[in-house]
Amino acid sequence: MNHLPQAWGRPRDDVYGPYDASYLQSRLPQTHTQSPIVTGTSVLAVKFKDGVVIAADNLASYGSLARFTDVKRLRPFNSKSIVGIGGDVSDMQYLDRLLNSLDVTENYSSTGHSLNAKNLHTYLSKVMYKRRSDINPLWNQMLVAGLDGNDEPFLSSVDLLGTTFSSPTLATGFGAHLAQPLLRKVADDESKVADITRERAVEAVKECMKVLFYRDARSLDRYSIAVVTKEGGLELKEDEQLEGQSWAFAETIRGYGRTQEA
Amino acid sequence: MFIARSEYDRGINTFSPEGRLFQVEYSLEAIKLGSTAIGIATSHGVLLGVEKRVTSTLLETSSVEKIVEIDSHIGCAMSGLQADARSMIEHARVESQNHSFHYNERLGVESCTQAICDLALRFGEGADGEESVMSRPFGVALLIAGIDEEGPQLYHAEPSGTFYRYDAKAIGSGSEGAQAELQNEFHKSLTLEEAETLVLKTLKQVMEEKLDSKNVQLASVTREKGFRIYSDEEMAVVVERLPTN
Amino acid sequence: MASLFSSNPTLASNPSYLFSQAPHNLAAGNKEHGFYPYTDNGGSTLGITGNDFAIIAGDTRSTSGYSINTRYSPKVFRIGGDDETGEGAHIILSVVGYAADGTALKERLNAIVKMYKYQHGKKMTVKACAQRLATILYGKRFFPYYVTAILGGLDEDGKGALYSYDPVGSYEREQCRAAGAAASLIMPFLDNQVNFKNQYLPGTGVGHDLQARQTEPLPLHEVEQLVRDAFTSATERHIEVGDGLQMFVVTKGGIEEKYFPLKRD
Repeated sequence: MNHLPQAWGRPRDDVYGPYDASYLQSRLPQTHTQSPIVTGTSVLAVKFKDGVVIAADNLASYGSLARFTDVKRLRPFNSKSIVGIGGDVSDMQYLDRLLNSLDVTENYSSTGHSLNAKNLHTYLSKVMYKRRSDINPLWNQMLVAGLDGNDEPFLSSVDLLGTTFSSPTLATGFGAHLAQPLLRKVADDESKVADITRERAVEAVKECMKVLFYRDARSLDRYSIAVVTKEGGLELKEDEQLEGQSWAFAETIRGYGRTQEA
Repeated sequence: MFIARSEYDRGINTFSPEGRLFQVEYSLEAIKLGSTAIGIATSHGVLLGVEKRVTSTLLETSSVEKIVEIDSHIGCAMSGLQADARSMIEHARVESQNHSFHYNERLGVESCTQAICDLALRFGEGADGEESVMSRPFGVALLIAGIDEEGPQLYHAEPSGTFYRYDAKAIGSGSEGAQAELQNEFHKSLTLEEAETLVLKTLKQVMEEKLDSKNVQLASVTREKGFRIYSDEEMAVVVERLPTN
Repeated sequence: MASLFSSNPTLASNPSYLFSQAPHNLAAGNKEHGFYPYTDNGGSTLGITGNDFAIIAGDTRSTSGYSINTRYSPKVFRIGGDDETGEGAHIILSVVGYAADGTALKERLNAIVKMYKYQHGKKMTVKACAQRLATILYGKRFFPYYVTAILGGLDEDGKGALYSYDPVGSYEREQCRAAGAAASLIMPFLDNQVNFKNQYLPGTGVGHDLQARQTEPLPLHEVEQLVRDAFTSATERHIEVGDGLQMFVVTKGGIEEKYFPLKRD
C-alpha cells in the first residue's frame, strides 16, 4: 500500500513487470477478415449424365463447438443453378444477400433469359477475386452446380483466393482429402460422365457424406442434398438424415488411451 | 452568318431545330481566317507547307511555328487559332509516346489523327453537368502528315472531330483557290521535289504577301529521314527553283 | 513510486485512472496473423520456337498443396481471338503459378489485344503484344501477378517468336524456355537438346580444342517430340506435374491445339 489510492489494487511493476496496455489501443491498423469464425465444412458434388448432384451438411461450427445444427449451406439460385458454400458462415450470409440482389436485378431486367450456372460461377469468381485483391477476402470455398448455356451439366469451384477449377467430381475442405478420391472412382474423367446415372451419383455422394461424418470431427449427420437436371429443374432437400450408419469400426480403433481388446 | 444568330448559339452542345451545332460551324469559320496550309502525299513521302503571315518587319519570322513535330514519323501543319493547336498537339505527342512505351512500335498515322479528333468534342458541359475540359470547340484545323507500315499518309482533322485522308489538301484563308490548284496539278507519280514546287507555287498564288524564303515554311516526312522541317538554306534553294512569273 | 509504475506516467500525476490515458507503447513487434493473397497451383509450361513455328505447351494439372484440384485446367490460351473459343487468334500465352492471377492476366491481355484491333485497324504484332504484356505486369509491380508468362507467335518476318517473363515484367525474346514447378527439371534438358549445350563433335580435339556442336533450327516434328519427352520426364519426377499435356502450335496456317494424356499418379 502506498500514498496513491488510484494505484491501489493494481499489479506492481516490480513484481509483475510493466503492464501491457496494448489491448487498450484505440488506434489499431485497420484489418479485414484474417480468419474465419463460424464455419461450415465440406461440400460435395458429382456430375452425371443429365445433371449434377450436390450435398453439404447442416452444421455451423464455432471452432470445435457444434454451434448451429440447422444451417442450410446449399443456396439455390434458380431452377438451373445452386451454390454449395463452405467456410465462414457470416461471409456465406453476405454472399446469400449478394445473390439475392443479383436475382432481383436479373428478374427485373427485360432481357428474358436467366443466368445459368456457368454465368453464376463467373460472377462469383469475379466477386471473390476482387475481394482477395482488396485483401478483404470472403472466407469461403464454393461449388457452383447446375446447367450451362447448352443445358449441359456444369460443376465448378471458386475459393477465397479467386482460384477456379472444374471437374466431374468436386469436394471442398475435408472432403477434398476424404471424399474426392472416392468420388473419382465413380467419375475420373469428363468422358465418363455420360455413363453415370442419377442414382449412381446420388448414392456416391451419400456414401461420401457418411464417410465424412465418420472421420470429420466438424461434420453432422443431418445434411442438405440437391439435384439439378434439365427435366426436373432443381430438387432440393434440406433436412436429410444420414442412413445406414455403422460405428462398428470404432471398436477396432486402438490408441487414444484404449489399449486392450473390447 | 451573324444575321442567322439565334438562341441555339448559346448552348454550345445544343442542336438547332435544323440539326446544326452552330458553335461547331462557327469554329470552322475561324479556320477560314487562318493562314493557308497545304499538304501533299506522294509515294516518296508527305510534304507540308504553310504561309507565315509576317505582319511586321520587326517580327522574328523563325518564331512563327505553324509546322510542328508530333513524333519522329509524324508531323503536323495548322491553320486557325494556334493556341488551340498546342493542346491538341500535346495530346498527340503524349499519345504517340504512350503507344511506343506500351507497344514498342510507332503509332499509326490514322490512330494519331483519331487520337487528336477524340479531343475535339470535349467541350461544353456533360449530360450530368460534370465539368468539362473546354468551353468551346477548337478553332483550328490540322494537316497531319506521317509514315507508317501503310506508307506515306496525309490527314485533315477538323474541329468537328471528323477527319479524312487526302492525297493533297489545302486549309485556311486561301484554301479554296489552293485546293482547286492542287486538284489540277496533283498526280500519283509526283516526286517529293515536284511536290515542293507545287506547294510553294500554290501558296504563292493565294498569299497576299510576296512569297520569299522567310514567309513560307516547308516540312517533309520521308521513310529515310522521318519528319523534318526545312532549314533556311533548303528553303532558299526551293524558292530559288520556283518559276518566276 | 516512479519505479513501481514506470510504464504509466499518468498514474503518478493524475488523481484518477482513465483507460484512454493508458500508455500507448505497444509491445515490441506487431502481432499479426494475416491473410496471404497468393497460392501456388503448380504445373509447368514450356515454349520452343523453330524457323517458321512456335510451340507453347503446359500440363493440365491444378494443385493445392498435395491435393489435385482437377486434372484438366488449361494453362495455355489463345489471345485476341474473335470469340470464346479463340478462333482467329494469332498469339498464344501460357501462365503458370497462381492460377487466379493467371486467369486475370489472360483476360486482361485478351481484352487489350481485341481493343487494339478495333482502335488501330490491324492485328497486333507479337512484338507489340510482348511489350504490352510487360507493361501490364510492371503496372502491378507492388502487388504482382504471381505468374510466369510465356508469349508466342510469329514475328513480322514469319519466324517463330517466343517471349518469356518474370512476374513483374522483365522479358526477353528466346529460342526456348521452361517455366513453373518443373522448370528446373526441364530447362537443362532443353539447353542440351535445343541449344546443344555440352554437346561436342567427337574427335575434333582434346580439352578446349573440342568443337561444340553448332545449333540448327529444329523441325516441327522433332520439337513436338522434345516437348512430349520433357513432360513425361517431368511428370515422373515432380508431383505437381501430370494428368494431361496441352500443346499449341502456331504456324502461318494458324494455331493448332493438341492434347496428350500424361500419368495421373
